[in-house]
Amino acid sequence: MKHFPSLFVAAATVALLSAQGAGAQMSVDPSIESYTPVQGVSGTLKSMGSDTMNNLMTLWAEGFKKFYPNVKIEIEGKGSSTAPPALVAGTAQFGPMSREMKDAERSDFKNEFGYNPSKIATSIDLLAVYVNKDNPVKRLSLKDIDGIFSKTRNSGAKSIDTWGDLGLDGEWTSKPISLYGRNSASGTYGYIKENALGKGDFRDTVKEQPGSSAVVQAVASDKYAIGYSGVGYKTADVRAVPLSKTPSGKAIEAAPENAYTGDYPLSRFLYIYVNAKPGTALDPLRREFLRFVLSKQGQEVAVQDGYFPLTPALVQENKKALGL
Amino acid sequence: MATAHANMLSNGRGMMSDAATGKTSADAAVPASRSAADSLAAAARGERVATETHLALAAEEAAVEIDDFCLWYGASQALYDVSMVIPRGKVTALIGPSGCGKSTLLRSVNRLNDLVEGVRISGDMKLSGASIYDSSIDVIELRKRMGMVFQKPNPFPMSIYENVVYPLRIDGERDRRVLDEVCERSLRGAALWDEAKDRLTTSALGLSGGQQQRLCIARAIAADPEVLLMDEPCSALDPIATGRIEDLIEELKGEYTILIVTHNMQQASRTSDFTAFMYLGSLIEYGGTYEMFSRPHLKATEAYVSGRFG
Amino acid sequence: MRFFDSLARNLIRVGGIGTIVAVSTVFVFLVWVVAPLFRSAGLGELRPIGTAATQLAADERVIAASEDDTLTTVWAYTSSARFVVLPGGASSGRGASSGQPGGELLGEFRPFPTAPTAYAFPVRSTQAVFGFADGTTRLVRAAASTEYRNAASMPRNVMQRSVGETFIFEGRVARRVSADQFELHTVQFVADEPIQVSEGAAIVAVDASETPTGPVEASVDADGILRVTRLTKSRNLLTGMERVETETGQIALRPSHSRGLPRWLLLHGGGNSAIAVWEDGRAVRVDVSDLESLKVAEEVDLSADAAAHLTQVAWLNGKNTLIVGDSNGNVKAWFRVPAPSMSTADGMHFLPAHNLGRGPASVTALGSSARTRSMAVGYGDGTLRLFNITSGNLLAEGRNASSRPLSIVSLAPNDDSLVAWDGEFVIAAVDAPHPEASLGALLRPVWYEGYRSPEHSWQSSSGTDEFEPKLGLWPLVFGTIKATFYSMLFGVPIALMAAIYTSEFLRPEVKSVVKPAIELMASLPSVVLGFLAALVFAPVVEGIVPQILAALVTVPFVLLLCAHLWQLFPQGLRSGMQGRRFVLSGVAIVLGLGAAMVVGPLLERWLFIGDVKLWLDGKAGEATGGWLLLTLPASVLASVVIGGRAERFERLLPGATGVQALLRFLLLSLVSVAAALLVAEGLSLAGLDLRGSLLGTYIQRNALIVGFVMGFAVVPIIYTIAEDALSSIPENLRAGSLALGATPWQTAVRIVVPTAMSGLFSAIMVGLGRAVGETMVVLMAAGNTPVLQWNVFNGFRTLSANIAVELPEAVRNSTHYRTLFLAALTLFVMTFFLNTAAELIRIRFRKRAYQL
Repeated sequence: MKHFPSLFVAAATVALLSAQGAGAQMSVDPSIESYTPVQGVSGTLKSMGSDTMNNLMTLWAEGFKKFYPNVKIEIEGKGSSTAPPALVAGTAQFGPMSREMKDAERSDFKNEFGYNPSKIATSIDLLAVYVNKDNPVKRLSLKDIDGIFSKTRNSGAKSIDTWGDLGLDGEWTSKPISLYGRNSASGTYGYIKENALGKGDFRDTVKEQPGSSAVVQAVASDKYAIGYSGVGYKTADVRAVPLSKTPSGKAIEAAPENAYTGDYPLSRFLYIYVNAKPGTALDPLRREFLRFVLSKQGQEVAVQDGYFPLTPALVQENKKALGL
Repeated sequence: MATAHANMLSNGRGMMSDAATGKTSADAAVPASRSAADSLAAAARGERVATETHLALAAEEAAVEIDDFCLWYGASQALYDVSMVIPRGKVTALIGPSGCGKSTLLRSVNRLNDLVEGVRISGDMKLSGASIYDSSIDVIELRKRMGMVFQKPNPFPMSIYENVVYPLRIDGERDRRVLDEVCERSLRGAALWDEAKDRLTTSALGLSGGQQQRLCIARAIAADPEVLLMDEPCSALDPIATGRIEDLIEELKGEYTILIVTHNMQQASRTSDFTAFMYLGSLIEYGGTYEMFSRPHLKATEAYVSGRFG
Repeated sequence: MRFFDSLARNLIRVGGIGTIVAVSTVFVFLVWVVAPLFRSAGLGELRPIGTAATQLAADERVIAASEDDTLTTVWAYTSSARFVVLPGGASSGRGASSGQPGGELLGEFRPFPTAPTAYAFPVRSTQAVFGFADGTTRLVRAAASTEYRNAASMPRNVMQRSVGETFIFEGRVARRVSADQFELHTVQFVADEPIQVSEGAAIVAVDASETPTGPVEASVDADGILRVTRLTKSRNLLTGMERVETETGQIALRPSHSRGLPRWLLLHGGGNSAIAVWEDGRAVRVDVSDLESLKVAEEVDLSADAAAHLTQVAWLNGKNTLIVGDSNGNVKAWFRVPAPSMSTADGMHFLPAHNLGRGPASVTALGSSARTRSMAVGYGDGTLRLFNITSGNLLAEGRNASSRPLSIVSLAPNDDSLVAWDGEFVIAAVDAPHPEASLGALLRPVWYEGYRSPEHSWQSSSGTDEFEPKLGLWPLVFGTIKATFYSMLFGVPIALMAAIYTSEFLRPEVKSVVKPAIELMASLPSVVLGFLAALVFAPVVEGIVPQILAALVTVPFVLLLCAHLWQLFPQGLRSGMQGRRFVLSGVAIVLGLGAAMVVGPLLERWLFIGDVKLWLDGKAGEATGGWLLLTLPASVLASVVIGGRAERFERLLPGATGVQALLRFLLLSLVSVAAALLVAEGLSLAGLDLRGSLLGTYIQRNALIVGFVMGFAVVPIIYTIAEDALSSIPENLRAGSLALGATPWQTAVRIVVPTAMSGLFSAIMVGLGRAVGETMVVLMAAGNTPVLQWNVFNGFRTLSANIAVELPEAVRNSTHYRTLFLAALTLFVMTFFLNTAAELIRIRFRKRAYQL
């Protein structure tokens, strides 16, 4: 218990730093409990899953290690779809995913262990559609995104091939839109497909990038590019375009104030899946990590990385679900 | 076999006496005071040794003239002020112990030494009066005027026909009739036509060692060279093949100037008109073959040809 | 000493055999993983579930039934307007053991005061929608729930049950999962409040869809009015309040041949289009995306033949493909495709895409899989067929033992069982783990949902189960071929020329620096190369495309021009500079590149209408420039060959002096350029255009970049082996050739290269092997787009990169997983055949030179 003063300082520093560095970010609701360490936590953990959540998991791991220096955590993020096979095979204890598991994955898990996988929501992400910082396009609707990215255009959108089709003029009129996206292992890919493309297919010409930051980098270096990625990956060389749900609706910016109102069309929870046998308690290592994620410090880490923290109600809900 | 050998020796002596007609009296006047050891020791020390050239050579027309020719491989000198005249239409043999520079000298005539890294020369050589080592000379053209036969037969991995006409092809000749004619002429000249005429399109590598060497000779004479250079052409062959090559050389001389390097003194005495004795990069004595073998001017030469060293 | 001799011999023998065994094992393993893909599916025997039917009234019919994923419970909705829950197949004799006779009713739920007049049971949704005579609709949710109980809390008599046994406990199906844990399964129903839709006209047909923003409900009432209601839910996470926006729209259905009311109403998965279908096959498709103005998009005739009427109409998983069955047993699949040229209101056209053939009797039941694009079809004579709609394959066929027609068929969530009704409940085991895979589906063009025509496509998975996997291997094979072709095109000439130059022309001291330097290139990791290609080269090249095209011409030209000018220098200077030739060539190349920088923009303005990327898009400008890229090398080659041979040409400017040679060279160049231009112009005027085939829209990450960088990776390998082969040619051959007056170039081309042919060929084959298997460079720099175009300016996706990207995400032993192994097997077989062919050719070359 003599750790308390230094912990307090550490926590305060983290809070201060995140408040400064985060810029216009949200701040964590003060009613969320702060994390208090316990005894008997050590071991090695492996996390395999979402690339979007890679940074996040790394920061959580680092924050967790400040409390328990003996713990080793390995993080691998190749796409949300890599999480279920890893959990099933037992090669990972945490499976961060930026989408929910689909039935085939859930039943594969169930066949192996006899019960369904468990999940907690960790934070809120806004998916941004990025264009090069020189691109003047003002707004896009979900139907526009369907027309730009999709081959099948299930929403009935017309095919949008050049920037002129979106109303840009001058040198932009005849330039074809250069498409960047994620590969099919990515939860982000699945999310866009479900929510913007109406479950239709992406065009063959979308250049698939191996990670979230790769998409942003590609858009930054290609003037006529468009790509989608998490809002936390924004850099100074790209712009996040305001999006609207319908063509005539209000265009909402990917900004913190819009994260909770439910107006921004592409917002989602970021999950961590674990193998938790019903009726038995989680082992201390995993239990404490998840409690850390759902604590004030954990939520501040999310803020630091550019995501949006959970509300106290959501925190309680998730904690209850896993008995934390 | 022994009788053939004896015949060759007698033929050789016969040739020598033709060549050496009327020159012996002047030769006898040169003093034989210089001992063998002196000249050789001087050569070993790297000093300039005056070449003892028999007067017989003065009367010959020069095909190749070598003037004060020196050659260095990097820092070490290989040839020391070699001066000699290669007579046209005759066979000249270069003899001497291993490492005396005879192959080096031979390869200098067609500038094949240029390919070796770090070679430096001084002095000059002339082919039919024109300098070989002048900076304005096109080496490729020069080499076309000479033919060379190597120690180990080196036919190209092509057909016999293609091997023989290779010098013409690289010169740009494409007329089939000309090529055919030259092929037959060269193969006849190399005494290979009868054996090869039915298998011109088969691979040259299928011939025996002796046949391959004759093929190389045919190839060398196909472009009608002025000088034929031969670097120990028989050392890789058996006695029968060797004999046939020596017969061939006999036939070819007169039409071609032949410079032959040989390790085998009997061969030199059999086949050549003139012989040059070299030792450690210097030309010690040079004269008609009969003279060189029976009445050499220098003790050193006598010591070598009689087999006391080398 | 003998001992070491025999030890070495045996060790080598073991090693050699071991290698063969290892490679064979890999092959066998791949085949073993892939083989289940092509195994035929099986349908178990259809057997009655037990005495469950006795719990239902004699005239009570089952309208819908569904099994849960554990196969322990079945819920059904009957004609008596009630929901019932029964024990499922796992507890009715199938499975480890069952104590109780199966079939007693476990529970019932009667939510409706009056019988509904319309209903719909969407496949994946857990809610059914009902319409009533008073114009209201209600949603009912049926959810399977599982409770876990510790053994300690269970009564004693239950403890005797063995692990894995299922039995009935407290009205629920229980199963012992382990010594200390029990599972209890049941189904729970929740009925929503009724929503008043029409003013009193009874609801005739109804359907509902779940969209990301909220549910959409559509209904047709007895007056023929179609109404659509969309609820958009958004939840404010801070306040916890859920805001629901309701929008409604309506339109009167008046088809051109009014024949009463439609029998079915089907709402698309996205909630933006609804189809009303009449029994005679007529259908009206309404665009409901804008609820303020519903428009009829088109009217279609869904009947397969005029003599039959439609008997069953149902959605496939994903609610985009409609399966239509009629009284003659015809089954067809319909979906929308984008059709901007058609005059439909929403730019889509509803087409019959797959014909599943004619069954033995009329279609009585349709049951879609919840996970794949498979459909179970029941026919009037008791036949049951299982189809995979995407590939059109018949997976399995079975027969109801009682030969009675099946009026309901429902596939279990995991596709491992089905439950049906023919007057009593019937259950069958289904074994179709890979319904989408067949040789046809993998290798031939397939007509996928929403596509305009059958095509090859690779889009293997997504984040949801409603996705239709597109497993066309051909785009990947094509990508591998394209990658190999372009990298060999860049790598082989450069490497071979470099090897010839190094072995024939370089001075030994320079060679001792150059050769190790190039071999060092081979140690560059391909990840680094890929990184450089993607993030450094690609953006740079994008800006200088015309300069690069110009460089292909100017660099060789300037090099040769400088060589000719060099001949004009006095012999003395030339001999002196002999050793510096290497440096001078380098200077000439730099000059050539500089010339390209200047010529490039001029070329762009002249041939490519000022903007080469615009030109490449194919809409503007003439095709001459494109053809020139092909005709120029061809005409240069032709003029070199012809000019070298034609004696008349030699006579034009005879002489071997430098000036004459220079003039000849310039004349030859001029002639070949002029000829190329003429032919290119001719081809362009004839209407032929390379754009669309070999050239096309410029993408930043393209085959040009990858070809160049992969060439860079492949060059050191080919170079090393080729140079070794050339150097091993005995020196006396070269000496012999040079002594005859051949130039070093003639010696190289006529003697050295032909003799070393087998070694050069080996070198190229080893390089080819590396190029075929290259993964990282392609992954990072090629854009990974599975396109089927030879266009050098766009990307591709290879088998190797695809495996690297997708294997970590493939669910174990799924179709996707096994298909990736099939891709690996394909790569293995391709490389094997290539290497075998190469080895055979190489041995033939070697025979020619063996005697050396």
